[in-house]
Amino acid sequence: MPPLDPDEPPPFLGTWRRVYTAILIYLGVIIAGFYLFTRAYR
Amino acid sequence: MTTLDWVVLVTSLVSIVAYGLYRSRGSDTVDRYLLAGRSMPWYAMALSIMATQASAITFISTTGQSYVDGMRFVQFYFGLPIAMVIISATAVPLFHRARVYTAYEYLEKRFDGKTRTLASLIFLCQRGLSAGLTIYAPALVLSVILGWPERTTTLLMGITVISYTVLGGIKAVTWSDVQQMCIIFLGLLVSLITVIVLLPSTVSFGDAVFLAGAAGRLNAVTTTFNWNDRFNIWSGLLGGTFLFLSYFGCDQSQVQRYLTGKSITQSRLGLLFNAVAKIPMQFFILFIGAMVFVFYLFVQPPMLFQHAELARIAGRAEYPAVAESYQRAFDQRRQATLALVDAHHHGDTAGEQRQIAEYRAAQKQLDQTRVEASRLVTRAGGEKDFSDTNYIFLSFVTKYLPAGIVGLVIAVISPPLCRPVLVRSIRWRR
Repeated sequence: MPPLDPDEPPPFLGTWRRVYTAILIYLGVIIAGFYLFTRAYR
Repeated sequence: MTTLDWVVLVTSLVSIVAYGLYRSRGSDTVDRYLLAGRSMPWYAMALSIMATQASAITFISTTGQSYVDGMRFVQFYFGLPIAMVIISATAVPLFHRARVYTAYEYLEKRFDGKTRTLASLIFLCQRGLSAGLTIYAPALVLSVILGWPERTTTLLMGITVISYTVLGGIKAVTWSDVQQMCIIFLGLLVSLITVIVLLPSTVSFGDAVFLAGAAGRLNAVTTTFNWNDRFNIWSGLLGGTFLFLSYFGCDQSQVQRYLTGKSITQSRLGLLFNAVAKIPMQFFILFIGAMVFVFYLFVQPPMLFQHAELARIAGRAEYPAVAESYQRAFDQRRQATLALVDAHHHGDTAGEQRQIAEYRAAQKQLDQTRVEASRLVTRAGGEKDFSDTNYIFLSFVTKYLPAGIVGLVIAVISPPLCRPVLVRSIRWRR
């Protein structure tokens, strides 16, 4: 019998681990972008 | 508000209600009423999660915060993506597989009834306190627009919110949240475009960003660690992560949203959308506040944005001297700003530095007179503190936005208004 609510793969990037890593990289890029923005207009 | 504003406001709110009612058909069992029959797609959950967190406070207070203190409040959200990743990896599959209606029901399954009761009580106390603020913000909007006392509008909002919370189903609320967020995005975009259009013709968008930077309003990241500074990158990453972990992982107002997902994947996608979109959205809202500040560099802002308080102190003996000092400081600041734009256009770096120094001196004087005016308010009313930060954006919207757009912005910042009609009779069948 299949398990209730099976852990399906995400619709992109293949695995959830890759999706989570991509989001954390995105956070790093956003912070770096804001830092550069702050410096540029200080 | 003009007739057109009322038409836009009523049309926006009625369309949200009608759409919510249409989508909530069939919510006649506990499962459908509380969890939408676990049928919601990720994008509806995503926008509902966003709308649940983004109350009227987000738009009123955040823009005012940016006007007064710059954009550094955005750092508060740096922990959100981390929290979303942790919750998606751990809590979402746990809650889904446990087939629970609330986060606290899981605690009973895992531990015992006492743990569930304690956690539920803590949640109710915490949410009860924060609900006061959440209700106060739209009540403040209504008070300013309708000219009614804040106590009356707070009572009105309270009764309204209780009505739809008790009687409305999650499906209706979620779909009305979706509509609400679409109007919010539209309203924010229109607000930003309007404030840029209202700038003097000699000031371009690039100049406005330069001026906001020179005025210290584009300070999005502070890397210095300081225990007394609430908003810096470290407090955002560390404090923000734990704060959002507790909010999105344990707070029923959010857990209920992603429990309605069709599957674990859909719930995860709903949360992760917020991990990606929330920070840029907050940045955008804060940027609007910074642009409103730039607008008021050229157009004299009221000495206090809370007009009722300003009228109350206008008769006091000290008022004329404070008002005159304010007028003088504003004229100096405007002159320094125009000279700064001119120096910027000519690439005169030394001139820029000189004008920035003059601008800062005038700004300091202006801030000082606002503090003196605030003291007059506290003396007149006997309050301990006075702050008109929450009134800045509202004052701008009601005074300067063109007819029709005011109604749209009010629709954006009065979410609870649209839900009292989402009342339906529920036949309790499991």
